[in-house]
Amino acid sequence: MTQPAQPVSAAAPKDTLTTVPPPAPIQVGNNGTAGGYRFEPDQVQAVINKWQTLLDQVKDDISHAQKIAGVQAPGHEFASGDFVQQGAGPSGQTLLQQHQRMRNYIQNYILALQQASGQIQQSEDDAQQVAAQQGQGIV
Amino acid sequence: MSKTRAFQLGAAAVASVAVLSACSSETAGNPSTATPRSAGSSSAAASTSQLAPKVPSALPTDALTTNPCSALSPAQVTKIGLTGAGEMRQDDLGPNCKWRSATSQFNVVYLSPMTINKNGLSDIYAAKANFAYFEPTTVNGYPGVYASPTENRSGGDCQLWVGVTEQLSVSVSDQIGDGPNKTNPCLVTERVATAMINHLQGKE
Repeated sequence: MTQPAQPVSAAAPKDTLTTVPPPAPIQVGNNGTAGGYRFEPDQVQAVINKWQTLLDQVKDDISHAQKIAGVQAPGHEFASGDFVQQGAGPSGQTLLQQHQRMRNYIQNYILALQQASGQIQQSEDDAQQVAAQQGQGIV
Repeated sequence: MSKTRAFQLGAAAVASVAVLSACSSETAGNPSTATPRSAGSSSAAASTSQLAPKVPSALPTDALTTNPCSALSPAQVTKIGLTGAGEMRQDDLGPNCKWRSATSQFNVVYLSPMTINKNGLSDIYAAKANFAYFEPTTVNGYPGVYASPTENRSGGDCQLWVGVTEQLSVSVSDQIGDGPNKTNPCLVTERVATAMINHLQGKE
């Protein structure tokens, strides 16, 4: 006895987490919001550095995944083309989408850490100073 | 033996002879090549010889493929708002260079000659089905296409492919997590690609 075929739309996984959750409350010393993670002021920079390293790696992975989409299929015949379009392509898109969300979460987390440790204001001042010196920077 | 059984045997004999004679008609030692299966809608199976607009004049790419960080001059890097000499890496798709923003910790630009492909921008055209958006353009007179597997241009991600020779395309992508161009990251990729072409032409 064969089971009735499932409609494609019902069988396909559904993306339910389309937005990135905000980071948990972060407190550095007496700054920031209590009720979440608490860091000592002399330790927080090491934590930020670790998150920045992770951010770098995720960004590199995103760039790599973006380029893979432009790579030619292994051969000019149906099996290779079909594998790329039906298998590798959609999987790569999902992977890339998850990486982009992870990147956004990490950026929000770094900002929250810097904000709680009082670094944000200084960073913005520095950035504005550099931009003013360069005049035409757009990145 | 019934008439029906005799008929079945006779039919089988005729069929066998037909099959054997068909086999014997093949020329020994000269197998024919099977006709490739039709690709249908599979664009990857299509010929990629010349799908993209032609490159007006091939640019010198030796330095670019040896060290993609040489695609921009130090003056161009500064003018665009990037900093440093760039970080060169080599992966399975070819070499690439990453520059960081001079003003934002979250903004980066990648420049990657696609040495793994052999048909330049036409290979990107052949992979059109892999992209969430695909918008042909020209960059400084050279054929290009905005194309990426996910559509997140309003969130700071843009990818631009430029044909610099008929054999080589370059991926210029950015991730703008901060600042006014977060909602318009393609402005940055276009600026970088334009600067790259100018530099390869020896103008800047």
